[in-house]
Amino acid sequence: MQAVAAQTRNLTKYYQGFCALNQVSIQVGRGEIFGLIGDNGAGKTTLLKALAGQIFPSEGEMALFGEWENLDPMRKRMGTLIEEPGFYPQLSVEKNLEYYRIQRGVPGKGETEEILEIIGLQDARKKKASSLSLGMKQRLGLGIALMGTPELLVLDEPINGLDPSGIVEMRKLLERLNREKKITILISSHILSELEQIATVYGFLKKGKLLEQISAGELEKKCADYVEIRVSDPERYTVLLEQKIGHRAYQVMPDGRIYVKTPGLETEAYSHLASQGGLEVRELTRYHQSLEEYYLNLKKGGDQK
Amino acid sequence: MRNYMKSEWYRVTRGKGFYLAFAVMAGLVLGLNLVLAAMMMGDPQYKYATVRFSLNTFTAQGFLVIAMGAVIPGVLTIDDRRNGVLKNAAGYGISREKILMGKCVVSFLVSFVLLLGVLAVYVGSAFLLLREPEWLPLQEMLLCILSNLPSAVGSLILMQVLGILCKKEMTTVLIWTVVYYIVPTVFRLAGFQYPLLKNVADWMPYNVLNPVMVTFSEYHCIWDTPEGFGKLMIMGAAAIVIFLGFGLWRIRKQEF
Repeated sequence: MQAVAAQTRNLTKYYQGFCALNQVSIQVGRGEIFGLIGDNGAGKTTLLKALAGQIFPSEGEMALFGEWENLDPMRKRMGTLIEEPGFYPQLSVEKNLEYYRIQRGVPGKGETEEILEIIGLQDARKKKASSLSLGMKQRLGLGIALMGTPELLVLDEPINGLDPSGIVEMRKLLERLNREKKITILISSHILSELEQIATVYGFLKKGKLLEQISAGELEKKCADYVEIRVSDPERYTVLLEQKIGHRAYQVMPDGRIYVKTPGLETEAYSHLASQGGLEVRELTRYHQSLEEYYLNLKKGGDQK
Repeated sequence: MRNYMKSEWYRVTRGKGFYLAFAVMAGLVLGLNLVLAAMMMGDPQYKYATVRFSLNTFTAQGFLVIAMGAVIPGVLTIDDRRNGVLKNAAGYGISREKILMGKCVVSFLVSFVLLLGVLAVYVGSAFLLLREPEWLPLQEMLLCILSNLPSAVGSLILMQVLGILCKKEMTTVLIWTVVYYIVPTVFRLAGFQYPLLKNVADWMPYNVLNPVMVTFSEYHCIWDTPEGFGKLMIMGAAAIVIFLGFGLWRIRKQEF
């Protein structure tokens, strides 16, 4: 089994002189949920479109399932939902799915039924696609992407236009597809809190450049919370930290502030420790960096470069 | 490509557009014959209520076959790009060339089926409702269709190519109109001044089919002579080669 579902190497795309994608190299492992994060115009859609063969890169190369040269046959193992979902508005939901079933050479109508159930549009099967709500259209788009049991799903802002319960449903569905059907998912979204709940790897894009690719585990470590404490005697406090709690992961700043990394206790326990040692607590704050904060800081760093 | 063609066939035959196109065209020709028949009921000697007049109405408009070659696929597939279905096909690894070829084959088949259906209604109702049934007008009509069929296919291919290349339907229609109406007209007019341009204009369908004369007593149709028939065949073949060649070359790098 190949370990990599999709990979790019220095992928670059110019649109009439404008660089939409600048030497982007990412690697999407099999079974991962790869969350692509970036502002509008960061190059997320361009990257996804290039992988889907909808546009052609100006420079660089890409591979699907380990194949670098002949990508079209590999794309038959992919399902895509990029920008607006593509379907025939005058045809019913069921006929649209049937159209794609025939196009992808899937025998029997079983898969159409299964997909209707997965995307929860059984009751709307006879409805014209044009009469669907925005959320239902997104679900139909996902259903089309799922036709032919893809191994890799490429989804561009799939929760756009969904109401809160629709967003939760979509998240659960993607988690289920990844867990049960082992489908690798490459997904972009503006809603970082949602992405944070499902992604196993992140790629941060800014102005066409990849700032960082990081696994959820690494990110968790980087974002791990810490306690900032200012006491009357910092040296004494660090002794207490080591002796009473056995905590050695801390840092004392020149101005006397102490950063306790990956604190295992409740915040109050750290003030209690100071009181026990007869120290005065001047300031005590607990921090945890969210994905959003991490992204904003990373972006700020990118700005400074 | 076979699966793509099968899906297109499924889509076209399950959509309302196909039946609507048939209903409109069949309705028009049936309406024509019904009006003529109604006039005949008022005046049994009404001179236009004949099979010859009815069928000649079509034969005198040879360019109609070529125009229909574009209109039918245009109606059925013109908004494919806007609907995002082309990007889905490309995203599934179907090459642009296969998409174009598949669309051309299916729209030719669909147009041909529609043509047969409409002809059956046209000829059937003319023979049933009108006076003086005779085979010559039918023979001329079929010859008109046959001799213009390659040009109609060329026009169909151009429409499909433009449908894939142009983002807006209006642009597609406009370019087709320029290629098939405006350019020939400009060449014909310029040909009065410059003989070289006249030679070029004489190979353009709109100009070639304009002088077709059909009256009650005689036919002056270009396809009636072997030279004329051959010219139409060459023109059609050239249109197919040019537009298909251009399409295959141009869409290879088309982005969606």
